[in-house]
Parts: sequence; C-alpha cells; structure tokens
Amino acid sequence: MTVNSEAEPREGITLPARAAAHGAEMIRAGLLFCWPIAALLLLWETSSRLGLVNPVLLPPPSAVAANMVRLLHSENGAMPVLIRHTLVSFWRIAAGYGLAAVLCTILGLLMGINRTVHAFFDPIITIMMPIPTLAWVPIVILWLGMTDATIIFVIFLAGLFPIIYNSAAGVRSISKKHLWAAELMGASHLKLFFKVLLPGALPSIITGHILAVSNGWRALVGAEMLAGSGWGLGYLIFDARTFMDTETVYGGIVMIALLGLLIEKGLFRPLQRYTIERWGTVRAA
Amino acid sequence: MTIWSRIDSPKLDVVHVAKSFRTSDGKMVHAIGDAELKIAEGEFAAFIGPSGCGKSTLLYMIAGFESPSSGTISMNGRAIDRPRPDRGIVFQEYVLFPWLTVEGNIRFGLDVQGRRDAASDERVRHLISIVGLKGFEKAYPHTLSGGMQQRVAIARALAYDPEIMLMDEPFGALDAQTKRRLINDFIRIWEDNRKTVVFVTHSVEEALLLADKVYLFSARPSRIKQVFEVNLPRPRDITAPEFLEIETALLASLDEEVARMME
Repeated sequence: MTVNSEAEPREGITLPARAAAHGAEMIRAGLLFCWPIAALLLLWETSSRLGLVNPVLLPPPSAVAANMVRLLHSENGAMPVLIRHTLVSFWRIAAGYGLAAVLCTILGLLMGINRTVHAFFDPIITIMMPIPTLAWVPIVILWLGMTDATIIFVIFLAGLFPIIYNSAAGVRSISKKHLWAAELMGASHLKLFFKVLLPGALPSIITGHILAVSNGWRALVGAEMLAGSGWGLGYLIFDARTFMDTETVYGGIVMIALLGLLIEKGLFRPLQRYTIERWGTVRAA
Repeated sequence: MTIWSRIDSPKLDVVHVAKSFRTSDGKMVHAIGDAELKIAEGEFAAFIGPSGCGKSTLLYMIAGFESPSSGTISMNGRAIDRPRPDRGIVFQEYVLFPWLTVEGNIRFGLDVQGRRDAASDERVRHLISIVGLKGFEKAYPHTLSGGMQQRVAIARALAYDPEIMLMDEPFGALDAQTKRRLINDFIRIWEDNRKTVVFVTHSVEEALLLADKVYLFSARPSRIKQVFEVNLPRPRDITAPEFLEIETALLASLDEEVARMME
C-alpha cells in the first residue's frame, strides 16, 4: 500500500543544457580570476621596462617567461633543468606526505577510538604542535645529513599534526546514536569501523590531509633552501640569488605557485566535491 | 501475526528495573525508580511521562544500548544484554548515514547482516514504495526534508524485519502538518505488519492516536503510574467523545506528574 510523499523528483533541465551553462559559468569565473592578475602583470612589465623599478630586483614578466622557456629547453635529449627540479620537489613531497598519510591517519583514528591511546599521545602532540616545521630542519640535518631523506622527513613532520588532529577529531565527531543504530542493525566491531566510523570521519580526515599537503608544500620550499643539495625548486630559487639571477628566482616562484594551484584545483577540489559536498556534511562553498 | 498468544510469556518483560546515573558534577540522578511492565506480541505500546522520567532511557535499555542499574529486561523470555537485530530503532533526529543514499541507508541492516539476495532487493524496493519515497532511491539524506528523512529512518528500521520496533519521539522534530501525515501513513504501514512497537512520546494526542496501551510514567524516580487501554479502532477521531474522555483522563494524570517535577 503506497502513500503519497511530499514532493516529486526534479525534471525538466536537460543534461546538455546544464553542461553548456556550466561551461559558460566556468569561462566567466576564469576571466574574473585572471583580469586582476593580468592588470598587475601589465603594470609590472611597463614599470620594469621603463626603469621605474630596478630591473634586476624586479625583472619584467616577459623576461621571466623567456628565461623559463630557456630552462624548459632540453639539451641533447636530457631532461630540461626546470622539469628535473620540479620532479625532485614533487617526489619529495609525495614521499613525505605519503608516509604521513598512512602512519598518521592510523594513529589519529586510534586516538579517536581509544581513550588510553588518546590520553598518551595528546599531551605530546599538544606540546609539539606549536613548533614551526622549519625549526626542525637543523636537527634533522644532523640526524639524516643533507639528503633527500631530510627533506622527506621534514615534510612528514609538516603533515603529522594536521592529519593526526583532524583524524581524531573526525572520529570523535561521530554521534553515539549513529554507532548505536548500526550496532542494533547487526554490525560487528569491524563493520562498525569500516562502514560507520571511517565514512563518518572522512570529511575531517580529508581536511587534515589537505592541510598536510599545504603545510608540506610550504615546508618543502624552505627545507630545500636549507638542505636541498643541488636539486629542487626551493634550492633553485635559493641558489639563483647568489648569481643575482632574479629571472630564475621568479621563474621558480611561478612554478611553485602553479604546482600548488594544480594540487589544489586538480586534486583536492574534486576529492572534496565527490565526498564532502555530495554528502552535504560541509556546505558547498 | 501469531495465532497462539501465550499470555504467560510476554514479548517484552520489564521486571523491577531501576536506573540511576552520575551527572558531570557528581550528583546522583535516580531516573527510574521501579519500572514494571509487560508488553505483548503485536502490541503498540506508548511510553509517556514528564521530562526526565526515564522513558527514553528505558527504551535504550530495551534496545540494549544501556543497562539497568538493577532489575532485568527480557525479550521472548531471554534477558536483553546487548543490541541485536531482532529490534529496530527510529530516533527523533533521524540519525541517517549522510554518506549513503536513501537506498543505501535502508538496506544498511541487510548489508551488514550479509543478506544480499534478490529477496532483500525486492524488500527494499517494496519499503521505499510503502513509505512514499519512490524516485528518491539515489538521493542523499541532506537533500531531503525532515519528514522524508524520517520515512527513510522508518524504512531502514523495518528493512531487516525486526521483532520489535523502538521509536524515540520519532515525530518530535517535524512540523504539525508533516507530523499528521506521517502518523497516518505510519498507522497504515503498521497495520500491514502488526509488529510490537514501543513508542516514546511527549504528546498525549500522538500516544492516543497510535497506541493500544499507554504507559504513564510518574515523576523521578519513576515507576509506571498508570496504564491506559485504548480500545478504539484506527484511524482514530480526535473529536470523538470516547477519545476525548481518555485524553482528558491521561492529561490530568500526566499534569499531576509534571507538577511534581516542578517542585
């Protein structure tokens, strides 16, 4: 016996029409985003070329771009210099974040679940959290030398606290009644963990991971300046300044900005859209 | 529906149950003093009483979420020690899983119990239709209105066919119109399967519209002050003299307890 519900499913807006409207909206948003930057670049270009500002300290964007093209040029089939620096940075952050992602998520979840684990680690974390990541670099250099391992470890440290803290908070934010309901429906402890705890904590966990990558990215550049040992975008910038090669310095900065943007828009936004916004646990911004 | 109702073995037997707990500032609260009741198979029982009398707490103890400080609660003759899928629950705040669709929520019990077959699929489909949510299978809870979310919660509790339905003020968070519709719809759903229901409410009208028996709790530390039998055919007319008579009596008795709470 059916009963009437309060509303009908929405119809009427076809898929192609929606896609076209969405595309137009994206172009418009893109233009809105770009025009202030374009205006600033224009100002910068003219000031620099006209000598209103010191062209060594503030090289014109066109020169920076030209230099980047040069750095992207491959000699005898070898990898372009700029690409190699970028890949080295990328590998370091991937490794550091990857390590943090696995170990710290597990610890964070355990802290959220078990009171004793939480009681033990919470004071330690609270004390260590305010220490800026880069302050650890001198110590880590003493431990691991001027190697890749140092950079990776520093990035791991940068991701440690956001992931642990947010994962634990995510677990604790799950209401007791959700667990009760699931248990009544026949869920074992294992099923409770995978089918309720994990999905319920996922928005917070994701937030923690996004923060970890952001922090890790910032820590990466600084760490590479101190311990880059020849490669990496941070090292590139730092090294170029000793030759007053400001065009390369700015080029490196542009690469860092572009990659950060790529990670943000290409990885995190889709991830958030697919989980958090779909489930409505965070209002779509 | 059982043909052989054994009067000596009730579906649910609450024997001298007391419940006290310590608040955060160290005070001891004696919510339930001595609760004693028997609920028969197929009975629609309503718990009503002043705030803080422990009616929800007793419901949670029947569910197995909490344990009594003393006394026993038995179901089918066996003591209840933990939550088991022979019972289903509907909360006031719906408590749906936001990461699952309507369909995913409803089939959660079946999935978790490993019952994934054509019969279960059909059952879920049938329930979605009965509660009036056809077309919304793939919707996520946050896109639904409160009334619709509660329909999902009801379907979810019924999906794995529990023996007892436990409902904690299920219509409390809804506006008056939605509440009226949902009550009528729920009566129709219930009359189809006649499950044993334990229904906690603040509303005298709700209790009398739905229940066979209304168990009135006294003020803290509570006991069952009075049991009202509602032998009226459903759906009930709230303007009928028989309804008004019992409503007046229940209200008067309830008000006494509410006044005692205020002292």
